Amino acid sequence: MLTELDEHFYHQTPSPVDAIRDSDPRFVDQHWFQCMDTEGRWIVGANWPIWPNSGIIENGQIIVHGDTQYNLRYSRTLERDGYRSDRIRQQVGPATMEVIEPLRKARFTLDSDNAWGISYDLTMDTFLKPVQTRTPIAFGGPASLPGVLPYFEIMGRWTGELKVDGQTYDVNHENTWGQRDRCWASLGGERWQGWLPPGPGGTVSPRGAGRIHWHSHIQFEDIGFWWWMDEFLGQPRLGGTLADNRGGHFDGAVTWPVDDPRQEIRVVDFTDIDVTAQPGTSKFQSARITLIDEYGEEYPLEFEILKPNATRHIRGEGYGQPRFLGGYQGDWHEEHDKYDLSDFSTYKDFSPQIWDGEHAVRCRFGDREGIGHMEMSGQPPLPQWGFF
Amino acid sequence: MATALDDYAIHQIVENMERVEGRNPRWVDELWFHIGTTDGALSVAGHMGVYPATASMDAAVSVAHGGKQYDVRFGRRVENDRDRREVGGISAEIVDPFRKWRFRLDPAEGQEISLDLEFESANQPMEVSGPVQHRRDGRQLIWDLYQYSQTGTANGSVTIAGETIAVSGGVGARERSWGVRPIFGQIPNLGRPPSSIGKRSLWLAGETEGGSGWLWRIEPEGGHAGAVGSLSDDSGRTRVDGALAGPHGAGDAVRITNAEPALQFESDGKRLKGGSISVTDWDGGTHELNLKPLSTIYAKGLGYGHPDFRHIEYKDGVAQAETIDTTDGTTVARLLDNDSGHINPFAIEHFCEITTPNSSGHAVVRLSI
Repeated sequence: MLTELDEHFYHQTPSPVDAIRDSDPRFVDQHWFQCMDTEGRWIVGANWPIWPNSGIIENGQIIVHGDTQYNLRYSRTLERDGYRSDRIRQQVGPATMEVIEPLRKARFTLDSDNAWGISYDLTMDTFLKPVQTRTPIAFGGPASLPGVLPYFEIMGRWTGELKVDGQTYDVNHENTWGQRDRCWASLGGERWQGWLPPGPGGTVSPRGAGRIHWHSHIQFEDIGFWWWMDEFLGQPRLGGTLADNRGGHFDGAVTWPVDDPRQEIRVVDFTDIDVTAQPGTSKFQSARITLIDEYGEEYPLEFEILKPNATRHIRGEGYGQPRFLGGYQGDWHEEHDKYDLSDFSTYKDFSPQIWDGEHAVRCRFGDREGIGHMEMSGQPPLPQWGFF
Repeated sequence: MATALDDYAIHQIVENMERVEGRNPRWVDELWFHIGTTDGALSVAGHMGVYPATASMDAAVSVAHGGKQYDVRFGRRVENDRDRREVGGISAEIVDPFRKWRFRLDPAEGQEISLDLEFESANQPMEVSGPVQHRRDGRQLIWDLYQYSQTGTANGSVTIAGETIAVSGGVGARERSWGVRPIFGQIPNLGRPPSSIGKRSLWLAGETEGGSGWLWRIEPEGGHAGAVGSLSDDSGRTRVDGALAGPHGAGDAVRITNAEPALQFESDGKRLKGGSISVTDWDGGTHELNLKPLSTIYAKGLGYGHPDFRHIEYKDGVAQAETIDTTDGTTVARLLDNDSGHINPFAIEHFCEITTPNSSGHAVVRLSI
């Protein structure tokens, strides 16, 4: 069926844009963001997966305020309205998102008409040049049907307003930093686990004993860093590519402010890694790493969580949920829950791994101080850090 | 690397938007249009194509007027801007999807024509029932193309050699297609075309008071029977596809299941002199179309089979302008000669008056014989 999108010169297959020629039901096209108060008082993030072959758009919202994580999950079917395509109408229940200027500006909103009464209107202006994985990420799964995911990320500064728990936060470029990303994939979403035989090391990223996953977006005023690591310490690793899921792999980039004439530099290796947990828990506290770029230059970086519970736990967005991420739940579906982040005894229900979550961190690079995001998890044994 | 298009959730494959499925260099995303004045005095045709695999884009305009055909052609390199529909002095703007477009050719030194036309359609687009597919040559995919067509009216102006002609209520058709096509590309030594691909091609899009219609019939050598209501058969049978469409929002188009032409040709056997086409629709209805050509454009002017302006091929910065005397038989024979040696089902474009027992209107007929 033709839509307005077919008037444009951007087809990739001999089929209408709305009709994916590859009928893989795992095909997803997704927006995602996380923005962080630089004092660690709150974090907001959401995912926006569209599943064209299943005819579904989903939206998972996480708002961390103080010691509470609020979660909202929505799903609806994609519908056509005349020649309009729903693939570019990101509106699900009370939530919307809009690319205002490609790669430069995007707006995310949540109306207060939701189970938690939280609302926001947040716009990200790109601050650092977008970076893309050098190769598509090869996710776990069997060799017969691996997940493949091209992926790029944009770091920026935010404006707008957040209302939560009776408080209103003014959001501006100085007090709110963060990032958004875009990926489109044939991805082993949670709905397809069980369809496929187990692959090497798991079903999403390579997993297994002794594995560290560390995915970061780090901003300073004059430089930025992005990397993705799945590491089995002491085991072989491919550096500079994520296109292999048999063991450790690592990719990254050094990026610059958008108007800086310098081109990105790929990060191909790292050393001097250390991670510290909060006392008596496996919750992330601090870390350090030295990145090594393609020319051999080293970038020693240090991180400290902004507040003990400045972490989003993405099960709240639907990751790991048995029904979300690609599952048809009727023309409309919504659900909500919340996590008490001050009670570590409950973490096993939503964040069972070591250092688990999407942390808002203060960063240091020489004399520079910045803000960053750390998506991190570890699987024992990691004896050097006391986890056996 | 990520480009602006990648920021939209419009991907069809797990590649960046500047890339297409497969590695076939003949991949094209193309628009075409042909507009005529109802007195037959003026015809305007245009082409624009982007070829992501060769990082190339080209565009051309042909104007037929006063026994001459004026052609202008441009090429440019694609640099992460495949949806920027501007090549040289030619631009194609989507004003309102499926309803209104604007085509422009800016004036320039050494170029006798320029134009600014708005094309509007009150009727729905008519799409193929499935991709046009053909790979039965034992080696490679020859054809894998999606296509839709639409008819409408045009207003604006065309300037020829300093004289500006107002176009008011011109009528015509436009087409969008994308995928792998066997033609126009002239990648050197494409290979021997399979005989099953067809020797005669008849394409028509027209509009009467009753609505829009589009059909495409491809006949093999020897005329094997077997119209199938689809263009994706590569067994060597005759293939027919088409549709009849009403106004926007008026329900689905009705499919055409057969089209039997009874056409007369000029002495060269290639140019249309007149005739009729009997069309059968999905519901069993029959429609008799009588055709009367009013004007002609030779599609080489747009680059279709042109020996020196080959679609798909990289030609950054190329700008060509030519004027052809179409009253000269030798010149016309050269325009009709398939000297490129490649399949070209759209060699001639006739702007025609059409009549049915109940209505009248106009159509664009594209022929290759």
